[in-house]
Amino acid sequence: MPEGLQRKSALEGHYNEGLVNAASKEAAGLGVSERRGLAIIQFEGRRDDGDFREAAGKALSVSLPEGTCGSSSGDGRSFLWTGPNRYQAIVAESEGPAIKAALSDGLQGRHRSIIDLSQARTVFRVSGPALRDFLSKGTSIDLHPRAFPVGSVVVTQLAHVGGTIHHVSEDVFDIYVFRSFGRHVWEWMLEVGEEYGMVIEAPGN
Amino acid sequence: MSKQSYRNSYGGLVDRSQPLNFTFNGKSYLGYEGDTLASALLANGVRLVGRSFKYHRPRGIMTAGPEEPNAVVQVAIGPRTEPNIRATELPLSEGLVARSQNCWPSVGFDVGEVNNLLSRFFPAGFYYKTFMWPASMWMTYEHQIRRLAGMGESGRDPDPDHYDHHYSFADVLVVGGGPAALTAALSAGRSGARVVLVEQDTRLGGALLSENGTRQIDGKLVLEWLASVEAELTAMPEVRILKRTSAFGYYDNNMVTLLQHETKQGPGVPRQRLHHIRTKQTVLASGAIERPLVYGGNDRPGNMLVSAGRTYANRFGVKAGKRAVIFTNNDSAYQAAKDLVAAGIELAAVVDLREKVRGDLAAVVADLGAQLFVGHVVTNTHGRTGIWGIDVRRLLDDGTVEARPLHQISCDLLLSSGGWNPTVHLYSHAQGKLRYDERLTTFVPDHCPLAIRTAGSVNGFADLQSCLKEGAVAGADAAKDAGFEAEAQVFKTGSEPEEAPLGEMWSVPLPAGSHTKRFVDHQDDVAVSDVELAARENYVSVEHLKRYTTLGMGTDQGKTSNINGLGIMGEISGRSPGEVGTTTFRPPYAPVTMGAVAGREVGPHLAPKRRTPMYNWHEARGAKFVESGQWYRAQYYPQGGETLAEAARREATHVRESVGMCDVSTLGKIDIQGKDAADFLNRLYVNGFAKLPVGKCRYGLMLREDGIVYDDGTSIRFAEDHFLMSATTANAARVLQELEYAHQVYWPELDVSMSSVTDLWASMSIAGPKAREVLQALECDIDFSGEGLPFMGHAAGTIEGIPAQVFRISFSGELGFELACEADYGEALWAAVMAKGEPLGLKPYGTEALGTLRIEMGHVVIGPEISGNTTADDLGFGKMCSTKKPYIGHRLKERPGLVQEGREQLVGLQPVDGTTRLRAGAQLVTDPKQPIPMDTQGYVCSATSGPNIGTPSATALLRSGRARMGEEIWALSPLHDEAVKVRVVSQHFIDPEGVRVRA
Repeated sequence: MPEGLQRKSALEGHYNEGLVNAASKEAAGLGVSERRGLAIIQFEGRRDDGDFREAAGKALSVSLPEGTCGSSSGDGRSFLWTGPNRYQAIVAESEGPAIKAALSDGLQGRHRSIIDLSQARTVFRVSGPALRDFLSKGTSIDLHPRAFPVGSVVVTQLAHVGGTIHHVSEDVFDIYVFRSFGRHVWEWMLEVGEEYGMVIEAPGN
Repeated sequence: MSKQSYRNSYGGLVDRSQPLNFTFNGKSYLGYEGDTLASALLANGVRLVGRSFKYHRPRGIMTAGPEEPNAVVQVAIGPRTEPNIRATELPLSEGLVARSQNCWPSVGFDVGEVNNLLSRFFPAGFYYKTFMWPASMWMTYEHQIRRLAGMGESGRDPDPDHYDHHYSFADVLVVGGGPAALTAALSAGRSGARVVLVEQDTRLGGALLSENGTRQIDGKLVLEWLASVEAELTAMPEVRILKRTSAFGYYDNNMVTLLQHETKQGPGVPRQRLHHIRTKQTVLASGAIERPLVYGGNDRPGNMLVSAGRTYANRFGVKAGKRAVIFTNNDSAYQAAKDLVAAGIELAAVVDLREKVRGDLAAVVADLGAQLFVGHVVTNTHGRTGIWGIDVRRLLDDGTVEARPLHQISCDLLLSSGGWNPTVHLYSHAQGKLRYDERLTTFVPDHCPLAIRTAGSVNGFADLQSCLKEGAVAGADAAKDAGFEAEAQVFKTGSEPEEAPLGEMWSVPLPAGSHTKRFVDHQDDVAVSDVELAARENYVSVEHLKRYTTLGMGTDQGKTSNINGLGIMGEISGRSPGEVGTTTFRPPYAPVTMGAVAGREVGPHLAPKRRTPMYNWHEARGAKFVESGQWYRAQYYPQGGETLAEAARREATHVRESVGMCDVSTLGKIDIQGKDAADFLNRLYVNGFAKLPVGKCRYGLMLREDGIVYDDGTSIRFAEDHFLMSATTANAARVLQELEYAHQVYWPELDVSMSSVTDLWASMSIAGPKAREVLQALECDIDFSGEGLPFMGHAAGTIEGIPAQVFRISFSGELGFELACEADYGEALWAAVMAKGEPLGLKPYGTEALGTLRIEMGHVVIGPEISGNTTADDLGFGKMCSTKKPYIGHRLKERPGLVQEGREQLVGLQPVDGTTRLRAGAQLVTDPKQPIPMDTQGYVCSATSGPNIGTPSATALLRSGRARMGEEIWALSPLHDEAVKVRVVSQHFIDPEGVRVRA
């Protein structure tokens, strides 16, 4: 990214930090914010490539989640399973180029597709005790901790648009939607979340 | 304001310290917190609450629950108004406004009552028979009938409230809030299972709330026990109790729909919630509804179910009348007799149609100082808007009644009990089969393919101890089947004497010569005589009976009438009710508001709104937007008071004469990578892509498998193994789906992966003779000259400090460049180009001008030309189709019908007079005066006023069109009464040689 160039969020002009229907931060049932400054690198191999997960993990020096609908996290980086032999690396913006290069080098000789989707997504972080009631208004996925424990990932629908939900830590979810739907989902969240009391936190990463 | 003269100063679960004001039919009343509208009305002595559906007979409150057929009211005024609310279920609230639904102009004086005087002319099937002819008049009749039918009204203004949907989950769903439901929830909840308990009432307890509270469970008084159970359930983190919530539908895979009336108020709190709950197991403990007896004059206000009279006395401290008679065929009514007297109601008599009554029950009646008539029945009631007396006669062995002696008893309340009907509606929704129980004379659950267990009186008659036990066992078993270790804890309660069999009687005989109406279905005004008529006319099947008489078709879904109707039909036709069978219950169990069904998806939220990265810029510039799929695209940028047509004309002209910029970010973009990517595209497109050089763009055409054109777009090859494909805005998702399908199903061996990157790019098309001049004014490291960036070329670099790509492609037919950068920089790049370009004449243009420009060029788009009926050859792309390779659709495009002579081909049309505008959709004929049906030879696809052509122009599909250049034909638009003489020309109206685009 060239010096001085600022990314502009899809929520630009529609992001007002503060409390909504809550007397204090502690009284709010929900915390919502936008995650900014992320690199989202999608990488994918052949569906029938039995070694792809291992090879990609080796290239990145991480262990990628086994099976379906999982993730692995550490050092501020997350790797989400989003399809058969398809993963997304969620890292700090500055790490994006290195991830791409490592994958490109490490996966030489086998089929792979590497796409930088950093600016194709709007990412929300939602948290708080009312989290599941809130999301139950927009997705038909069972998000109870027994069905969707910490680390789970699901590619599904939220507020009638496609999205990815990641259970980051207890009562904290990240939600990825197409950037063009970012403002729609944001406005939907502010509307259906109001009853629980919300704190709109400063954008983070 | 009248005082509550029928309210006791003691007893019940109402809070007398919290008075509530409410209005009914324009009069103000007072009730208490804990009341329903019905109990508050009775407390105030309001007996007449509505008029019946057909005959407009006066009707009063008959029940104390969701089965109420009469007290159906319209609640609230203005935009919040809601019809079809049962007063018996509606919790009283401060300021509540309600009115009778089915009367006009008022409940006391109702012009429809004339129907009652003429009732022998309005039998079952009356509407079918009378309003059949002339058929054309039905529309007129229907309007009048509906108004008199009192279906309620919806508000005329938008509903100011909102409604939410929830997708919920449970291991064990418990339907009901009575003793069986509570013990089921406890057993399941203690196992750690996720339990959702759904109760339609405002409090838990079910039938226990209607008792006098002296019974004990587990050594505690009933109310204390209820409180302790509720406290334990509430403390369980995985148990959720939903009150004021009805489970109204049961669907495949144990998906249950719930309507929750929100009791909280506050910002963002919806009025109602619609839950789609997916459960592993269900315990149906929905209880039973008392069945009325069917006797003469049984519909006057003052006729009520025994259970209702008892509920009003015990739960609300309300006397439903001053002097009562109980009419029963079973033992359960005797406990009520005690409760009524305890509540201060004078009990005149108990009339039991059975020949024998248990000694202790007879003693109860004697102790209460009332008369007991065994082997007697009530044959008539007297009064108009209330009861003042009843006739009691002896029942004879032959099933008739003795004319004399006639016992006339004065009373203002007649409570009847004909047994109990299990609330099996959800069981039936779930394809559960019912069985007729001869002893209980009703239908009980038998077997069900879905994961439903039944517990308590939904299984038929159950004493309290059986309810407690069945619930506990069902809850534990359900939890076990959901994968938990559970144990049933059975609470103990006192024993009850076994009930004697009830006396079966579906309708009480009338004395000879009497024609008094005996109502079966109070809501839809179906009387015994209507069932008899149906039988005479051979509508003996249960399905015919229902439809012919409307029995059970009201908003109460026949909760008090269905079984009686079947019983009567059985008697007439010599069958048992089991042989008659029931109709299938269908959702919803109780009326559901349209608001709850619509949820949040109303107004601007009807569909998600998709915005490009430059949306805010367009908005600030005053653009008008148009929907394209889910996208909101800038359609035009009006100046002054310009109309759409004027603005589009100005913008399109400006592009041809100077330079314009259009946001094309919405175009679908698919990233395709892999060593077989070129081969993959080669198999998808009709034209060759295998040899497309790196760094070059190519226009491609895609067919469906049946040989019809599917989509078109330009693709670029970034590297040997990397392409970016573009697809039509509104078709992009389907194209990606098609690609995935082709890869996964046809050619899984290809090394190729594809992903949507539409959202990654902000794209802007800069077009017009001065386009290059604008780009060269930018701070940038790209050579925009004809040699540096030839037509269909690509370059990457930095423009105004932003990493960007440039594609030399054009949709407008002008010298055009498409700039693209990553989405978050889109607005900055657009603004920078605008800032440098505006002094050179750069102006934004919208999709309307873009459309004008493409029609002027004769370019085809999805919809008008790529219509799903056209082949590549029809559109003039025949020569583009490769003969050297196979591709999707290449075989079937050779089908005889697709290659035969005389197909409609794409041409241009211009009016012969040079000025008359053409319309899309106009039909093409050679002779406008020929008789109808005309020989239509094609139609107009897209039309433009042709700002840069000088004459209106259109693309059209015309039979053998390409061979008919210069021919004069007619474009007819009968909808507008227009006939325009047109000349067939090439659709390439401007620059057919493509000089401008290659400049």
